[in-house]
Amino acid sequence: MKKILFQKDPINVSEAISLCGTDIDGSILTFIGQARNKSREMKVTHLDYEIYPSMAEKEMKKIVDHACDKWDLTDCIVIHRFGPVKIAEASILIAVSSPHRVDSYEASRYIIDTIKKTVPIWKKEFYEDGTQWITDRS
Amino acid sequence: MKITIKAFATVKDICGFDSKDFTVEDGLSVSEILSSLEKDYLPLNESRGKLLYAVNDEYVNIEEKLNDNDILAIFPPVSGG
Repeated sequence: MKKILFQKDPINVSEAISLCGTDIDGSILTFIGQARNKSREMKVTHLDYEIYPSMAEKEMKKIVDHACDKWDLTDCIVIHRFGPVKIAEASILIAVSSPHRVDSYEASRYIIDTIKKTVPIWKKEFYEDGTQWITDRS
Repeated sequence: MKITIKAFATVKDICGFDSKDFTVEDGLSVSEILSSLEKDYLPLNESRGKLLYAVNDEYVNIEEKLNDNDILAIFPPVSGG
C-alpha cells in the first residue's frame, strides 16, 4: 500500500503507524522529522512550511514509486505538514514495512534524503526577533 | 504568448506576488524571462545561480523554451522534511 498525504493539521503518529505493515513483514520502520527549538544557535519559536501543491504531489509520487520499485516494501506511507508547525510537532512521518529490515532502512533513508532535495516545500523558521527561509541545505 | 509565473519562498518575497500572468514574446527561454523579471525585481540578480525552475510542475533547465499557457515556477532550493 502506498499513501502520500500533505496536511495542515498535526500528524496522528500512532494512527499512521497502525496503517503500516502486514503479516508478511518482519520490519516496520518509522521516521519522524520533528520541529526543534534551536537552529544555528538561535531559539526557534515555530516553523511554517510553504508548499507548491501540484508539483509536490508529483515529486513525492516519483520518490515513493522509485522506493517501492527498488526495495521490497509492502507499505510506504509519507505524510508531510504544511503551514505552521509548533515546536516538538512532527513535520514529516515516513513509515515503511518490508519482510526484511534492510529494505526498510535503505528505503526510508532514500525517501527522506530525496524529499529534502526535490519536493517543492520550503521551511521558514520563526525566532523571537525575526524569521528566515531555510534554503541552503541539501 | 501568455504565461503564468508562480513564485515561492524567497522569490515570492522579492517579487511580491505568488502567481501572476505575463504576456511575453513567443519562444522565450526561462533564462530570458528571468532577465526580464530581474529588471523589475533587482534582488533576483543575486539569487540567479541558486534558483530552481519548473514548467508545468516538472523541473527544467534554465535554457528551456516556454510555450503559450505554460506555468513557470521559480523558487530557491527546497527545504522540506
